[in-house]
Amino acid sequence: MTTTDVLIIGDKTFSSRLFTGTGKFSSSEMMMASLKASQSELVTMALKRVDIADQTDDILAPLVQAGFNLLPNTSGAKNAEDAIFAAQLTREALGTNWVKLEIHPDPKYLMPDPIETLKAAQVLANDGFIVLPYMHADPVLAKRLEEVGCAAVMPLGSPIGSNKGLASRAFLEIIIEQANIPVVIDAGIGAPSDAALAMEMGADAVLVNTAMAVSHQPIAMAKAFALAVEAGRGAFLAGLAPHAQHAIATSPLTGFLD
Amino acid sequence: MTNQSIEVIVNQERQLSIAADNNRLNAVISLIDIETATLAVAVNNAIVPRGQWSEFVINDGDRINLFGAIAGG
Repeated sequence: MTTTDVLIIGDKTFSSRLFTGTGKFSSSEMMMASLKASQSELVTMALKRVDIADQTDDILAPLVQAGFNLLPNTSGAKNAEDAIFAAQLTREALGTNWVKLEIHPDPKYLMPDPIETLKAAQVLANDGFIVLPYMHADPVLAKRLEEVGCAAVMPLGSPIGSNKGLASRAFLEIIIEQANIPVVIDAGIGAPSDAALAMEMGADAVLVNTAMAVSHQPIAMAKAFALAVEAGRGAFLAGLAPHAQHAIATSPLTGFLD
Repeated sequence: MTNQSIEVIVNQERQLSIAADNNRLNAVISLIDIETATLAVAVNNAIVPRGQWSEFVINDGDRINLFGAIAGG
């Protein structure tokens, strides 16, 4: 792979195609060490009403200091109105117009609401936001989100935090084939092999959080994910050899015994 | 009338009093020990941009919410 293989989303250029979340790490120090090991250049975070009595969760300063680009999410939003308000708050708090649009009304499966997501995406894109919507692996919705001005789409592999991999593979393939904007596979990527597969399929990037954060050794796992994403991307660019029904010999079959 | 005060609710939990002759959003925020560099503030569910905190007038009963970044995926 050459260094010219970069990913452009909105106004930013990335040389790493591994995006990372900041949730569920055992400590802020472990989070920072893992994110650095992942070589990620874009990290997600959430916004919350400040706990005035207990302000312990200052994750932002070290992330900004280390030079990570920030992708705040709208987690907690149950409809378009909530999400638009959350995005406006993150723009004010963090000074970025990037937003990972997340609307999941049901806490059990955290399935993204397609109707509310499309509504919010249109409003936010018109308001100058760089919108990356979390969505089900729905090829029709992906096109609709592209049409309303999203900078990328983030279809799920399987439910958030489930580590079940690319359960939606057949539909992700259609989304990738049809997209004119970057496709970032988000949610459910549980192993480096899942990430490599997504990249081999032609995904532009993957977003990983739980699989790294709850590993016994998050730093080592972050490195493993970085290698997997690079390997998968390299394989995609090189072009995978076709499948065949029958064996095709790799050595000459006309033998020395003839 | 300088001894009159205004009551506000901060983050749905804390009731604060400020002097009626010092009824600016800045005055409320300064009463709370908080890092303001990465804070977003909404009054009655409308965002007040940082540049307007010192002029924004607070009224009795206003609901003030302060938001900041936390870890998340």
